[in-house]
Amino acid sequence: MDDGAGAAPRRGAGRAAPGGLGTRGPAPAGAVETTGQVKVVVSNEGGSTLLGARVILASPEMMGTRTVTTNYKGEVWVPNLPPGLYQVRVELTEYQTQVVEDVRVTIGGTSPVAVVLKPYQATEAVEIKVARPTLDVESSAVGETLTKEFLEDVPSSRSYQRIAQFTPGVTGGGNPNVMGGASEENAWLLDGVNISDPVTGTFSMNFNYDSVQEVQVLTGLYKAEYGQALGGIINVVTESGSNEFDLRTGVDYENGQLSPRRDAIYQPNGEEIESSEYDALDENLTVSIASGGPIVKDRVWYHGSYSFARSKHTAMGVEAPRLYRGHYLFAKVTAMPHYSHRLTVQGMGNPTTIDNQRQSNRVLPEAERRQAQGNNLFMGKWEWFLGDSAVLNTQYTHMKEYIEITPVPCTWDTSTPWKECQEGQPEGYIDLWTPGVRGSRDAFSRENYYYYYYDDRIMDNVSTDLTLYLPDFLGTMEWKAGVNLRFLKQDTVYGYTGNMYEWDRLEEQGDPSSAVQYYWVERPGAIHSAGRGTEVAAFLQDSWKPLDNLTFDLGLRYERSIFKNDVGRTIVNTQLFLPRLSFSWDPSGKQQSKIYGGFGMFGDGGRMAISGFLDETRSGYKLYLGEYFEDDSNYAYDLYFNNPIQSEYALWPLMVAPRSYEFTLGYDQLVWEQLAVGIRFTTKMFRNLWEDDEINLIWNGSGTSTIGAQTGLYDDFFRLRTPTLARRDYFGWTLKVKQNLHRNFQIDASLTYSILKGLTDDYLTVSLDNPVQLPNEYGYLPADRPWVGKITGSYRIPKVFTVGLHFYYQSGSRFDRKYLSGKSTGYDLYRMPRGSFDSLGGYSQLNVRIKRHVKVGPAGDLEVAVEFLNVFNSRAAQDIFQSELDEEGEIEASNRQDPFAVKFELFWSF
Amino acid sequence: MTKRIALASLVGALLLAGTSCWDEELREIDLTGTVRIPVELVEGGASTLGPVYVGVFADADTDTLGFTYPFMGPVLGDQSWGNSYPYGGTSIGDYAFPCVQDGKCRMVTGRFSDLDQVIDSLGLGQSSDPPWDSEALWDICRSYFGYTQVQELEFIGVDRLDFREEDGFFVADFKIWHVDPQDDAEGRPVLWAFVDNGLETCNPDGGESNRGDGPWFREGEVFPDVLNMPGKYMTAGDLFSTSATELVVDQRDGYEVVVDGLFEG
Repeated sequence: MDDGAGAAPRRGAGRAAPGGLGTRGPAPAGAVETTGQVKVVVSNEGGSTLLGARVILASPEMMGTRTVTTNYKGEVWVPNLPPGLYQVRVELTEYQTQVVEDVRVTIGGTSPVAVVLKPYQATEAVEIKVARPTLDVESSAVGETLTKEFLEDVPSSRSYQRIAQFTPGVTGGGNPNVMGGASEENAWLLDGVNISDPVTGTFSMNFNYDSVQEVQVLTGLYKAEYGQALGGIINVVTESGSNEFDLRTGVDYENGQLSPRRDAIYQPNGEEIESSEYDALDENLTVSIASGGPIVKDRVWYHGSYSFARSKHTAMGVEAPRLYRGHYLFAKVTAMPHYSHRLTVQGMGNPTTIDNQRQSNRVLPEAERRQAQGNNLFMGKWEWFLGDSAVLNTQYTHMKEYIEITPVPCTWDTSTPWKECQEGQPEGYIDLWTPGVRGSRDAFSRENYYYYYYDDRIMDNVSTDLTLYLPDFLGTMEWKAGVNLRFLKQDTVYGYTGNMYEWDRLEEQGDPSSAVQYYWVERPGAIHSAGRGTEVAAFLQDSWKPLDNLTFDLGLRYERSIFKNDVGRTIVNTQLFLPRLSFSWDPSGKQQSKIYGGFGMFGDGGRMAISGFLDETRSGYKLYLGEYFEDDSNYAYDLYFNNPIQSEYALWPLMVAPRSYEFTLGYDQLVWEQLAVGIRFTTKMFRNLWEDDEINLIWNGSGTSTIGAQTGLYDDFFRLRTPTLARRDYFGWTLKVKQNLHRNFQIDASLTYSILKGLTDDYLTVSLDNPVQLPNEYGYLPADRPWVGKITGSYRIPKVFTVGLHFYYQSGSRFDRKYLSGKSTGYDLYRMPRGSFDSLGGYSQLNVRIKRHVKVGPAGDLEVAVEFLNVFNSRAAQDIFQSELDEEGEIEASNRQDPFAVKFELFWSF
Repeated sequence: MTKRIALASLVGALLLAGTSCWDEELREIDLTGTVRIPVELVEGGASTLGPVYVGVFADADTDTLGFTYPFMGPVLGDQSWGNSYPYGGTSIGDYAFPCVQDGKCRMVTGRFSDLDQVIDSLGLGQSSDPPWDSEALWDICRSYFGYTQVQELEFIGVDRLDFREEDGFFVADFKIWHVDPQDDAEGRPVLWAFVDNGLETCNPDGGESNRGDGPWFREGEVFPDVLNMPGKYMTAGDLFSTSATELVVDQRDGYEVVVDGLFEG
């Protein structure tokens, strides 16, 4: 799904609706963690633990209060708490009541509170404001929890996808690479439910940023309740409302005209390498509103938000802008009809259109394309609190994602550079009947866009889990068991406008005199196909504390995946048992340090793109009517080929599910007040990844051309496999500094050195297609970034403003020198192991955010913020075109850092 | 207790990691060996040899065509040759584009140690005034391929010569990847080779569009069915194996394929 980043290459991703900064809401527990817990130990001044003390927890994030009583160890455990700040009140006859404020609960975290009661005196309750502990000494999971107070202060581009980059071990873009994982190997969770795109495994929706309560980014050693990912877990917990009404509305705006531009870059011979930016245009605008509050106080809350995101981007030499228009809606109602039952229903949608998407000066407006996309989601959840020691959660989610690619709608408004309507066509008409003309090698694309594609991706998810707390069984245990079912379907219709298209090609690039017209006629009518998938997962886990300062997380997860292709043939049928075992040890028992580590095995049961690879509804017959019509043996041209309805693909029956094995060992130490430092080593071995090879063609001795075909048919016959060869190895060392908000200062900084080598950094690559190349295919992968440094933090200057910054440095990507292959299908050849030729230079970027709140009396608060993005205007190349290098070995950047930009935000909260 | 658990986790992890050495039970095998060509059959030395095609076939027979040739499928229509449906194969030497149109479909890799040898052997640039030398040819190649060193040209280099002379033979190593000898085939799979001295296996109308100055043209490339229908490309002066080399069960390396027959058309 397009996140708008493409529409606004600066940083328009997921332009989310501003919403309730002041909103509060009970984030529900889910199939996996969306809540945290508090453990309170009550003792007297003599050090004896106290039985029977009443512990009352209250928070704006939670309906009502939770009251529990300490056991003979003086302990209470309060699970299933929505993330946020809590007040803990402790009462016991003959003792003075104490109130502990500002206890921070985070997703999946345990917040310890030690209370020492003094003998009763005739005074008010004592209030203690606790510092928020930086170290969670009971957790061995690797990752970060990004709280609202953190995200409010630092430059985040208001993109929930991109804030994962604050976390050590995370690189890449909106779909990140997490500790060696590929960009489609993460699990994206919304309120505990896996809403990853069923086809690609990437994020499936853009989302209102201000409806985000907290984001948990897990990069390793996560518990057995998390799964269906080889890489990381991005767990977004949403706002829910509170007992107080609030309203927040505002706008953020960014104009690329304020950014410095680069001129074109030329080779010595005058050939242009990179285009000028002076002709390009960028503009991003988001208007949003959010509100939350009680429908019935302490019983029913609501939260809702809407935002409209628009970004315009015009490439050089193009008149009609790429126009991204997204409407992001979110609504949620939480009810607690009984103290032991909580019900949540929520829905969201984000209908979006992206017009003039092709943005090429070789595409005439009439041949432009529209992409419409969106995701409609409904979620219902029931939480049953079975006393103080057990919680049963049951959840159902329905999600329908759609992507529709068509010709761009026409207009009768001739003052715009958009596609003009023809006679008889109403305003906004989408023409699926006029054949398009494709241009290649600088020939113009014209007449109409040549293709249409309707793709519905549907997911139904049912999950249930039971959490049980056993305080007196071989220490302390927290058992959790759950089952999760996912039913997936992809339904596509595609075809060619007018069932035919022409193809104009310049045989010599840039030379109009070499133009040749070819014609292809496609099979009449649209082609429909539908694939299905079922995923079953079950887990059992235990957080076991045999000693007060030692926690073991033990777990076993089972995953079964069945994916069928478009004709109902089972393509993927895998199962995995995934053990997890980790520990966290607080040597001093004073929450000053922890040693943690463990082993975990993670699985990837596949995606519908895997089974879709073996779809059998082919694109039909093609008839070539051009110059070489009589010469059907000229395979090198690839201008004529017959693509009959047959499976050219094979399924090797012996497949196993891809998996990764992780070993981690780390040490964290509190060095000053709430400032902690840490060091961590992680190795992650990815094995038996999805990969295909080609089994028909026979290659010559240097792998440049094919000289035979085993079947006698001179075409690729691909075979889906999970071979041992398809692997990836990650080693990473991380130094870390962290402080949660304390003395108005918070920081999260890290320096990571890592190595990433392997055969494949994606799935279904060409790595095994040409066996002659095999000795060079294993090497440093493009995602390898040996050095990555990050500093994210803020300082709240009292009564003035808040300054936040995000700085990063990372090594440049590796690239290869490739050599021409005679087989013109993209097989450029290596002559040395991949990634060993050279790498781009490292690059850095500094983003700064300055924010100020202004009280406007009874009218509420005004928040003004300015973000300065890429302050030093660093424009280093991030990627290059990795085909054959240009003359003199010069490289051509395919992507550079966005230039310096300024973004303005103005929000009003009431 | 901690020590025990740590030890148990390590053992468990190693066991699980061991499962990654799982066997897919693929049928494909890789074969290595040498091709041997009697020196007396090669006039002008190894640099005059065309590409050598080595294939694995269901069997070979000497009766059907009067010389040793791979088993064929049915001869269809007016075709002279049936399809041999090879199980795998490779080549020793490939067609490379030598940067100029004159040399297309004439340049075989692994035969030339420097550009002078290429110019002399193929007579490139003789019609130019003055005739090209290696420096001029390198300038053209550099501009065309974007290479920075002569050694990057795949058709040049002492260390890239395919053949060495041993005991009266020109000998070259080969590796055939992913041979899939079908179990149910009649006969026994064999290795058979031929040398395309006539350079008929190159299609002058195929290949990349030339990106140099002047009118565009195709650079030429090998036909994709050489091993399926080798006879279609064999012309007088080509060499072939008069006796095919049988594959031996479980033997992967050390095969010798002798190319000792002169095809007379």
